[in-house]
Formats: sequence, structure tokens, C-alpha cells
Amino acid sequence: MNPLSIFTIGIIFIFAFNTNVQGKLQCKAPIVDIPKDWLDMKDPCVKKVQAQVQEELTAAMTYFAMGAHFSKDTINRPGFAQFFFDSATEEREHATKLIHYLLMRGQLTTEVGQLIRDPAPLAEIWPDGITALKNALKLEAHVTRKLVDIAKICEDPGQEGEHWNDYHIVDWIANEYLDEQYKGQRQLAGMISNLGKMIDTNGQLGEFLFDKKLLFGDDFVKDMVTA
Amino acid sequence: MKLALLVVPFIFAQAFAVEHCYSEVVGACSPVGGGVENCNAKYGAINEIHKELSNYANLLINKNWQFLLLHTHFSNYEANRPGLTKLYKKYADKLWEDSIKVAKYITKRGGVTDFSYKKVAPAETNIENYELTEIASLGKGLDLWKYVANEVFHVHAEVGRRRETVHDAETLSFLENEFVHDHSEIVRKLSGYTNDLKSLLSNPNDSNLALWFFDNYVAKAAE
Repeated sequence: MNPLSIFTIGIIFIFAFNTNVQGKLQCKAPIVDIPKDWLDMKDPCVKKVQAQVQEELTAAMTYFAMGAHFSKDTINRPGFAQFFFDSATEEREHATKLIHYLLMRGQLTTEVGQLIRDPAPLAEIWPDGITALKNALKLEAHVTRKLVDIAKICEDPGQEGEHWNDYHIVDWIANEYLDEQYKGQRQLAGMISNLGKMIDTNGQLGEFLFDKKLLFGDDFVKDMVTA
Repeated sequence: MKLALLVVPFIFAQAFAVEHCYSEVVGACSPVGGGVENCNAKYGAINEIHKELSNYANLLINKNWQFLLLHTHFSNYEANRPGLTKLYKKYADKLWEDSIKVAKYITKRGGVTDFSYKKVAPAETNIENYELTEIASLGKGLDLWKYVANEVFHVHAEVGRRRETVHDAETLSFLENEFVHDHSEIVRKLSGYTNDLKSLLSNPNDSNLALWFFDNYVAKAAE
């Protein structure tokens, strides 16, 4: 090999090396050895809470669709629409709160993408306001049963979870979720009761008045809960 | 007389065009009765674009979940970046609120939101693995927002055509006021963040501390 070739190869090598150094970023932070002793949630319990995220988001999307349905010009029930759009955002917040709980307990470090799987509304049209409210109450009762299941499994996750009672999440589910669920269900039942009586003799007029009360009566819905 | 023959049907047609609802209401009030199908809020090009708008509402919902998951990843104790957590949650919330705005707008114009109408999105707008590095997440976030912004331009172009049957000034105004300005701000911010972080990570000795400082800055800026 003649000296010129060696020189040329050397220049190319230096150039390539320099380009490499200039363009290369140190993107990945180092892995830190963090003790795992504090991670005491058991798998069956974690899986139940993860599944509940999708349940809450399915409820959120169903309420979203109810909001869109009652917003239609030919349906024109802005009070119902507002109530259901607000409920949709509330259900989404419930899902976020469950995610934050799992993160607080050191979960969700891997396979986060499995948590939300394109939730879809359970229906997109409803024949009238009272049917939508009844569906909403059934949906809430379903969500409540799922929450009670979490409490049951987390209290005793079986052999797979070494029968370890996770006091904290059981207490948290009862205080943060079940309390709101039962109050929310009572509120819906009260609304169905009032609207049902109003439309029994005054069908469309009853629904029209109820809708305006939902839209303008600030404490109307809140007052439904006496507990 | 010839002119009158031409003009009278024209006037009649115009009157008929704007009195569909009126005629139906009069018919409904008559002894025969009838429906009022034409008493609706549809005008302009809404029939042409309500599917496009449904697709856009669904797209915003989908991107809201993606940003919610990015927020989740950076909130775990190993990644632990409160700044990026806050930034991505803010974006997720905005996308959710914007999807409600689109659904409300569709119904304002007499349309129906079709939750199952979703055009196939390009593969690069999916996220297979959310365990991204800080800079990779910013790059992905920038791509996602550009897609969201370009899709508004697409709907805007559809209703911005000069042909009257597809032109819709109200939808143009809605898209411009509610989305396009916000989108340009977000795209600019994420582009700036990505380039900042690229510079900060170029020295391997600084990178870990740089990430910590940068995240602290993002946390403040996202407030």
C-alpha cells in the first residue's frame, strides 16, 4: 500500500470519527438500582386496577356519546348534553386517578400501552332522556360492582398473591371511589324518579322542563343527593 | 312575457328553497299532519364534511389517550420526570376538551358525530412502546401534534374550496379560531424543546444533569 493511500484512509477515518462524535447524543439516562422492597402490591390486585382504567374510560366514552346525542339540533336537550359531557370528563378523571394510584405504588413501569385500548361508547343513540338516565344508572352500577371486585381481590389476592391484604388500596377504593359511586347512583335514581313522574302525564313537556332545569338550575342535580 | 316566464319559476324555486321547514310545519299543523324533517340546522357544506369532522373528533380522542400514556410513563418512579408528566397531561387534557368542542360543533350545524368513523392513520402516528427516552418522547410528541395540525388543514382545505356546495365559512372560522393558532404554538414549543435537549445532550458528561435541569424547566413552563 503506498503512502498516499494510507494517508487518504487515515483522513477518511478521522473525518468519520469526528462526525460520529459530533452527532452522537447521550439520550438514555443510566439505570439506577432502586430497592424493590417497597413494591408490595400483588399481581392479581394490580391487574384488577389496570382493567378498571378501561372500564372507566368506556363509561367516559358512553357519556361522551350521550352528550353528543342530546346536543343534536333535532333532539335539542342542552341540559342533558351538558350533564353527560361533564360526566364524561369526570369518568376520564376517575381513570387518571387510578393510574396515579398505581404509579404512587410503584407500578406501571412497563407495558403502559396495554392500559388504554381504544375505548368506545356502548351506544350512540337513545330514544329519550329517561332511557339515557336509566342506562347511565345501570352503567354506574356495573362500574361500582367492578370497584367492589377490586376491593375483594386486593383484600385477598388468593394464593398467587400470598393472601396478602392490601389495606391501603381497599381503604382508598372505599373512600375515594365507592363513596362517590353510591352518591352518584342516588343522584341518577333521583333524577329518573322526578323525570319519570313528570313525563308520565306530560311526556314531551316534562322532558323539556326537566332539561331546562338541568341547564339553568345550579344546584338542581347536587340537591338530588341527600346523603 | 318571456322574461316573466323565466323569472317567476326562479323566484318560486328560491322561496321553496328557504321555506322547506315552514311548509312542513304548516303541513304538520294541518288536519293531515306530517313530519318536519327539514326543520334542521343543516346549511352550507355540513353534509359534505360532517364525516371529516367526526374523523377529526375521533383522532383527537385517540391522541388524548396517547398523551395520557406518555404522561403515565414519565410519572413512573424509574423515569420520574415531573416536567414531562405535567406537559403531556396538559396536552392530553387539551385534546380531550377539543374533541368535545368538535362534537358540539358538528351538532351545532345539524350533523351527527359518528364515533366509529376513523380513517386509517399513518403508522408513524402510532406508539408501539411508550418507554421512550425524554428526547424521543419530545420527537414523537412533535410528530403527533404536527399530524393533528395538518389534519385540521385538510378539513380546512375541504371547506375552503370556492365551489359553493362545498364552501363553508362558519367551519373555516371555527377551525381557525379554536385550533390552528393553538397548534402552531404547540408545534413551535415542542420543536424548540427537542432542539434544546439535542444541544444539551451533545456532551455525554452533562447529559444526566442536563435532563434533570431541563425537566425542571419544563415543569415550570407547563404551569
